[in-house]
Amino acid sequence: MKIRTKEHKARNSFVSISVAMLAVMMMSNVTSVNAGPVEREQAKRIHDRLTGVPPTDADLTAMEALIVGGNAAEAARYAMDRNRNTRAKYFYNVTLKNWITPWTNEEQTMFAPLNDYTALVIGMIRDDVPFNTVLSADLFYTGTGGGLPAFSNMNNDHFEALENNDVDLSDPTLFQSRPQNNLNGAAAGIVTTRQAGKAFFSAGTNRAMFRFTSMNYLCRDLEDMKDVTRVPDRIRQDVSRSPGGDSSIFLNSCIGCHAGMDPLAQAYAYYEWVEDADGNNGHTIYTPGNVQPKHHINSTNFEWGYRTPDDHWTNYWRQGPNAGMGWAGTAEVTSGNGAASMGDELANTEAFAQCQVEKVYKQVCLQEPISNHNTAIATLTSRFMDAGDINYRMKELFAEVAALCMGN
Amino acid sequence: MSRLFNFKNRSGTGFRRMVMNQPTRSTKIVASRFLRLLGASLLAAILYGCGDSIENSPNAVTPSNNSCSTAVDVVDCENFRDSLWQPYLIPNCNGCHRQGGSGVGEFADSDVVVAHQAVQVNNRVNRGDPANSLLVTKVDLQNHRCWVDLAGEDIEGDCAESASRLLSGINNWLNPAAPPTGGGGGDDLGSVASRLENPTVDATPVAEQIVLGNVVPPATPGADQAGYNTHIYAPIVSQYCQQCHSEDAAQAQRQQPYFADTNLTNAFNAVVETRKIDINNPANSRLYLRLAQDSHNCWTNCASNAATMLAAIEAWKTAIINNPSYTPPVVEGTETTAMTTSQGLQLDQGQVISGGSRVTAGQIALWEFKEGSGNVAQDTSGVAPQIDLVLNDQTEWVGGWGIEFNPGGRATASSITASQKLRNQIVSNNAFTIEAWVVPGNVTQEGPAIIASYSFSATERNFSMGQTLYSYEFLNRNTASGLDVANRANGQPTLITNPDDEDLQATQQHVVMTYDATNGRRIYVNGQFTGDVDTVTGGSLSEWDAGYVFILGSDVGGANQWLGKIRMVAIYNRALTEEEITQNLEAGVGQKFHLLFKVGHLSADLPDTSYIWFEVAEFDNYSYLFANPAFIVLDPSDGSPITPTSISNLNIQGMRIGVNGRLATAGQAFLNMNESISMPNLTDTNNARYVNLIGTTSATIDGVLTNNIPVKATGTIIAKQNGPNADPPDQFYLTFENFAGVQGAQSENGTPIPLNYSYPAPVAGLANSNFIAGMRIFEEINATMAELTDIPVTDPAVRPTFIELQQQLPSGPALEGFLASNQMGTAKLALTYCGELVDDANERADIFGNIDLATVFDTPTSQANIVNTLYNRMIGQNIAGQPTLTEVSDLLIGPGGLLERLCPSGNCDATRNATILKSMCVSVLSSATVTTQ
Repeated sequence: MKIRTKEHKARNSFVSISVAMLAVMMMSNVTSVNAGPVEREQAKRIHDRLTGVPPTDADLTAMEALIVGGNAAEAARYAMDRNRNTRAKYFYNVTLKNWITPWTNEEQTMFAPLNDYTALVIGMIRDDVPFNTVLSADLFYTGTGGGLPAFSNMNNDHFEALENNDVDLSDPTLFQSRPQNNLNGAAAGIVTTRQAGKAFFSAGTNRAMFRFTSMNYLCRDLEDMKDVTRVPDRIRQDVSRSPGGDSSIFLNSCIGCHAGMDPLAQAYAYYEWVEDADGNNGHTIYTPGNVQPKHHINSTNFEWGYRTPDDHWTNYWRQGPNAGMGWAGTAEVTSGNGAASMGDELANTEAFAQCQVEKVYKQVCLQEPISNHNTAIATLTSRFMDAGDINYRMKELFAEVAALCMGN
Repeated sequence: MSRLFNFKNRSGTGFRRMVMNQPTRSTKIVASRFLRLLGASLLAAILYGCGDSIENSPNAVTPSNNSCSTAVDVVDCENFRDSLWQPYLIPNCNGCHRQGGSGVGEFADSDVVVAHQAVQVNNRVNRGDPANSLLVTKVDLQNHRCWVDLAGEDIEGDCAESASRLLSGINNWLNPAAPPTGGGGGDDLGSVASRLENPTVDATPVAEQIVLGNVVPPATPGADQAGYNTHIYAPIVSQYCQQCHSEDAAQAQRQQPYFADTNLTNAFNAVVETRKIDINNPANSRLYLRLAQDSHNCWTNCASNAATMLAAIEAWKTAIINNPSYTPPVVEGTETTAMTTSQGLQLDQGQVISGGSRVTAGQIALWEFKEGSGNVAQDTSGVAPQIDLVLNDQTEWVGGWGIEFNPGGRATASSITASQKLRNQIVSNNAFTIEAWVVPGNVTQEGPAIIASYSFSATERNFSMGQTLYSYEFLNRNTASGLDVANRANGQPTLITNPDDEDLQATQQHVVMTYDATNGRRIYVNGQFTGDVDTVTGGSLSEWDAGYVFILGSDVGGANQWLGKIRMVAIYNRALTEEEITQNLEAGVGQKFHLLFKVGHLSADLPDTSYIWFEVAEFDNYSYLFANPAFIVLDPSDGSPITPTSISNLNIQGMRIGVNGRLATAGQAFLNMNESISMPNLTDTNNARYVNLIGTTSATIDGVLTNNIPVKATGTIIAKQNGPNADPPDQFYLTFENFAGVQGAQSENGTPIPLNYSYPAPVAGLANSNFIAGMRIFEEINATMAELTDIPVTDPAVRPTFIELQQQLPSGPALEGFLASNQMGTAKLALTYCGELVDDANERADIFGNIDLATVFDTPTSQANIVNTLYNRMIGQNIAGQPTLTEVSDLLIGPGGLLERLCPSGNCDATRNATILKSMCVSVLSSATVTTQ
């Protein structure tokens, strides 16, 4: 048991900080470096970038041996494997947590506590659940150890406790999957997590859920998918056709996103975020057959616009410039009902696969993709989608990309 | 320079022309006033009498009896009084059509009961067909005493407009609760349908000179990508626009459309598909307008860049037309057959049918802004005196009826005396309503910015309608205000809509403000009460000042400027009910035309008088509204029978709207149409001869089952090309992918843009471009320190320090983003970890073995043990890129190293040694050897 008093800390703090800064300045004078084997340096780099922490000497040596044996990807797998690497947990608890957290809030900040959305993605990656189900799966992850508040759909306490207690998320006995269909009614992967509802179903018109899903999983903001030539027969009434009195803005700009987005985002017609009176807690509700009123707000902005009668989505972006996003199958227009099938539509595009490769690349290689890796990224995208190869296993993608950027 | 003025009324008869010099705005007004004065003088001196002419009637007298209590049908009489007699007949017809007057019939008598009896005989009012009432046809077709002068029109007495208002009054009287026309539902299609006539124009659509494109439709020679390259792409856009408008642009800058794509074909396709160049009218090109109007990323000087762009487009156009192999293009949609394309129509070839749906009872002032030119907007309420508004130079007319206020713009009543009508009509009733159709220019103006006001200055007003950001404000001088005189005189306290509701939006809105003593002020936006309850009730308006003037756009004097458009303002001397406000909302605003696009000639299975019926209006300055498409069959105008007498399974698919021979690129909301129409017996007048082309469904919305929800959008907007008043004006037509079994031209899907796997080159000069070094980020640093010191992240001393410091630690790996403050944070966190490590004997022993702090630095060996432990544990052995043990050792325990500096005597006690050990730990743990990856 460590006992520490404030007095103790206060007494030493000034001296200690000034001494520490002197020490830091001393270390900045280092000028010469080791000339160790390149494979050992590569192994450390792979470990650093996957787990965020340096390896132990033994693990580093083991990984080095795998690289020397010509299997860099296996070295990367080693780094993420809790049965081999003593520090593998940080791949899940730190690297993935910080990688995913910005997707779970509108501010895109990583300075936020663990939540059910982040936990679900971490779990899917750990358990090699094909990632193209991230927008549709009936899946959820919660902690099982003692000392945790029971999971509640009304607050984030359970997940914050997981983080504060430093529960090892790589451990399948402590962090386990379960279905979510008893939680929100109509499961659709991360879309129906509590945190996604709080961030993207709150207020507004539920278009935010579509926009952020697109940004996070297709690497495309709406501007990138703008196509003013699509049929605008599903643009809702709330979209002003004459913003500020200038309809040319609508015809040249707004229509380009809304024509495609509104019929897709219709999949969210039955979802709403309901907050407690104090604004702190809340949960997503799902009302099958009953369109949430937010889909009909500001209906007088353009009374001839579309009125949402159900959650039937239609994908007009399979035609025109966005047909190049590589939609599954050959249909020119597809449609369905609800968030899960729409999520499937998005997650089975080549753009989705490329986006995951690019995101992993940025995370592991610490930079935007570069031309040296044009072919490698194209190949990895295709392998990622190949059921006989990577088959949407994100951990495998991390391994391959880590090998790609280990340096030479 | 001379200009031809066409003095023609809308019925097409009785026009005369005169040629006069091009007047300036002011001379025009003077001339117009002179003519009006002359007319009035002639009227007084020569023509006083009541024959047919289009001059004004003699003045009315004050009504002697406006009570219907003795009428045979009291309710009908009261509706007559409120809707027709008071607003129209008394002011305009009472001079002649009264007891003892020279006109035939006493239907405008000063006694409402007498007038009510008289109006019901001799078909003066046709209850079954109001449009055929003698009151209406006499004015419309015989030009009898037309009293409405539209400012800006050089017409003394617009008969069509006068008749339209009479018909509106009759409709309101006969069916006060009648569903309004316009709106999205088209509830009264039947009523309008029964009044539609066969268009007099039967013209095929006409194409413009040049069509851009590489393949389909066939390009005009030279109007292809080679021409684009020569004139626009190579000299301009590839140089100045490619950084953003290209698929290859960096993601942060990348912006559609890719008209400057590095691939010329893609670039040209983008230009064609999004029509960013209007080759037939270069000055209408978005590529030019973005520079000229929006100053969008000009590369040197916007004016000169815009001129360069315009000149280039014009040069391209000239080159195309002068090409020896130039041939005019065909109308888009008729490439393979003309049998799937309707006849063409211009906007003014549509039919204007008054629905008469607005509530007029109690209306004392009305500005519809129909004039479109000049500087006067007339009060067309028919209630004297007219409060005509004078527009200053910063106020512009907008298409489809309306005015727009630019900075400095306002429209002010021409006199205080006229404005007094408001005070005189309102104060005694202690109730009023101000209704407006507005388009706020933004949601940032405040003050409140004054939309409409009856006031004297920025601090003295009777009432005002204003805007503050996302809220409407209603100021009203009321004796019950509870504030001091000065604040009362300024209409305080204000009633403002809840800012969180964001009731005000920068789009067209119907806003109504009502006041009565019981409810105080209420604000309705788009027919909905905003829920903002007035606390000032029970007072009176007796403090209203008679010396104020009515003004739109700012306070008198120009303070509190409001920017935006106003398309209608009405004032009532009573508070409208919520139902009446809804009725006025649904009546809509602006001029609507019913366009009948002939399709009967396309199939022998259809009567020749078969049409696609659209409601079309100028939506704003940039587009047309096309709404509520229906299929309709009319009786042949020559009286011949309808042939064939039935329609069976007429299939209509893929309807598109064309303008000037080209299909609109954006806004084709009816392209997915797939309707089958059957009309089994067209000769049975009980059968409807029209069918809506947008089906309906039912749905539960917010728990309420709602019927008649259209399955698709019922309207769309289509960009203006030349405009409705240009020469030639825009001509519309419809074309179908399939019509009555005939397959026409099919719509193009557009060119897919393949995914881009071509990434930018790595930063030059990096020795090993396959990786770059970076920082560990905040939680990685925390976890790293925890692992290297063996102090868990949950340690009660460490955890709060990390939470406090985390945002001071690096949030991204970029080395160039690393700041001194990041290093400070890192050092502080390292100090906490090292403090825990050194101060706790067990932890210390785990890492350093069984050391004695009092003697830990006594010998070279003991010193080296510490350094070796730190090195092996935190830096790692034999790793290329990390510092050597020797170098670290020199820095920590060598001559002039850390130990020597912190313990110059070489003989320090345990406490000091602990601090030195911590600092050695910090120096390694917070150094780049640990914090970089």
